[in-house]
Amino acid sequence: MILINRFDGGVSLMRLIGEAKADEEIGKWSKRNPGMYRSHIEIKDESVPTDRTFRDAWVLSGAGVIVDMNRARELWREVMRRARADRFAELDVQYMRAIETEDSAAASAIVKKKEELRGVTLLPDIDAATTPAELRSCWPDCLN
Amino acid sequence: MSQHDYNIANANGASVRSDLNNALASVVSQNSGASEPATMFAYMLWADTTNGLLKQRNAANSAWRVRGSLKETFVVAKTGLFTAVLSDFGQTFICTNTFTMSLQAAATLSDGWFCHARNDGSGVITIDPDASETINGVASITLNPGDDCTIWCNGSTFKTIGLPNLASDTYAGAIEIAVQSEMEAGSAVNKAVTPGRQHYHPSAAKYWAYLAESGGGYTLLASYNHTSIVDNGVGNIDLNVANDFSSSNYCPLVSVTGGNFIGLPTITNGGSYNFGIRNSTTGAVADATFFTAAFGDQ
Repeated sequence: MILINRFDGGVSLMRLIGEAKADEEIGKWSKRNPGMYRSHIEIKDESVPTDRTFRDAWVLSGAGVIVDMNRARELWREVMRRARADRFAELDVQYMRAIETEDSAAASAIVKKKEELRGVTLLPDIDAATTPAELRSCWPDCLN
Repeated sequence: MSQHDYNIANANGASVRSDLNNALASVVSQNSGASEPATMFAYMLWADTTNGLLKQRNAANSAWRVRGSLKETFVVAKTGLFTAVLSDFGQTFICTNTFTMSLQAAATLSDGWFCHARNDGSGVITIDPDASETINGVASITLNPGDDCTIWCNGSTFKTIGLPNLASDTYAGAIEIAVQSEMEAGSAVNKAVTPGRQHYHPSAAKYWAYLAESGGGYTLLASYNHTSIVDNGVGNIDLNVANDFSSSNYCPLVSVTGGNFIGLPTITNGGSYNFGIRNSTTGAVADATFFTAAFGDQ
C-alpha cells in the first residue's frame, strides 16, 4: 500500500491494481488532486488503523498512520451535532405537544434536555481525551 | 518492322520477288509497325509497336482486339501513384507503400484488357477507375496487405477476379476486422469485432469495478481497466483508469448499497475520477460498498 502525505495534513491510501506502477498512479492522483501531493511512502497494511471512526483525522507519523487528536475531536463533535439534530427534532415535537396540552412540567423537562444537548460538544471529556478510544467513549446518554 | 497489302502486283521478276519477300517479312513479323497496316483483313495480326501490343483484327474487319503484350518484362514493381494504361495489358504490378493505382478510361483500354495487381507491402493500395467509371460497381476498391487480383475491363467498366468475397449480413464470405474508429462509429455491419477492439464501441463499459466496504475499508473484488484505488478519507475514493478517456466528457455511473447512501461521481480528467459517498438523509460522508461503470470515448 502507498501512503500519500497530503498538504492538507491528511493521508490518502493507494492500492495498485495488477502491474500498475506507483509513480504513474501517483501522477494520476496528483493530476486529479492538484496541489495536494506532499510526499509518499510505502507502508504495510498493519500500519493502518483498523478503526476508521476517525479516518479523516489520520496523519502520517514516522512509517505509519496515527490519529491527530485535535482533528479527531472536531470530527467527533460533528458526529455529535448530527446525532443531536435528530434528537432536537424529536424534542421539538414533544415540546409542541406539551404546549398544546398545557403540560408545563413536561415542557420544562424538554427545555432541560435541549439545553443538555446544546452542551454536548462542550463536554470537557472531549478535550481531555488523549486516545481515539477515550474520545469515542464521550457519548452522553442524551444523544442515544 | 514490315507491313504489306498482301497483293503481289504485276511487275518484272525482281520486283515480284521483292514484293513476295516483303509479304513474307510482314507475315513473320506479325505485320509489326508503329501504326496499323494500310490494308487490313479479318483475323489479321498486328504487332503494334507504339503500344507494345499484339492485336488481331475482328471477324468483321472493323476493329482491333488486343491479344497479347510485346513487352519483355511482365512483373513490375510500383511504389507510388501511377495509371495503368493500354500498353500495360497483361502486366503484373507488385505494389508497396500506400498509393492510388488509376486506370485509363475503359473505352480506351477496351474489352478484354486486363492486368494483375498485388499489395506486397503493409500499406493500402487504392484502385481508382477513370472519372465516374466503376470497379466492381463502386468508385474504387482497396487492396489491403497481401491482397491481389486480376482487373478486367469490358470497355465500359471494370471487374476484379481473385479478391475475396466480403461477407455481409446476407452473404457468406471473408470478413474484415473492425478497427478502433469503426468500433467507435458503431455503424458497420460487415466488420468483425475482436476482443481487443470490442471495448471501443460506444455501448461498451470502458471500466467497471466492485468495491466492497467492510469496517470502513475497501476491497476491490473485481474490476476492469483500473490501475489503482485511493482512499482519501471517509466516503472519498479516487479511482485511476488504465486506458484513459479521450476527454473529461464521459459518463460514470455508481450504485451504492444500502438504502441511505448515494454515490456522487466527480470527473476531473480522462484518467481518473472520484466518488463521494454520502448519507442521503443527513448529507454526512460515509463508507459503503459500491459498484461503478463508465461509458464514453477512449
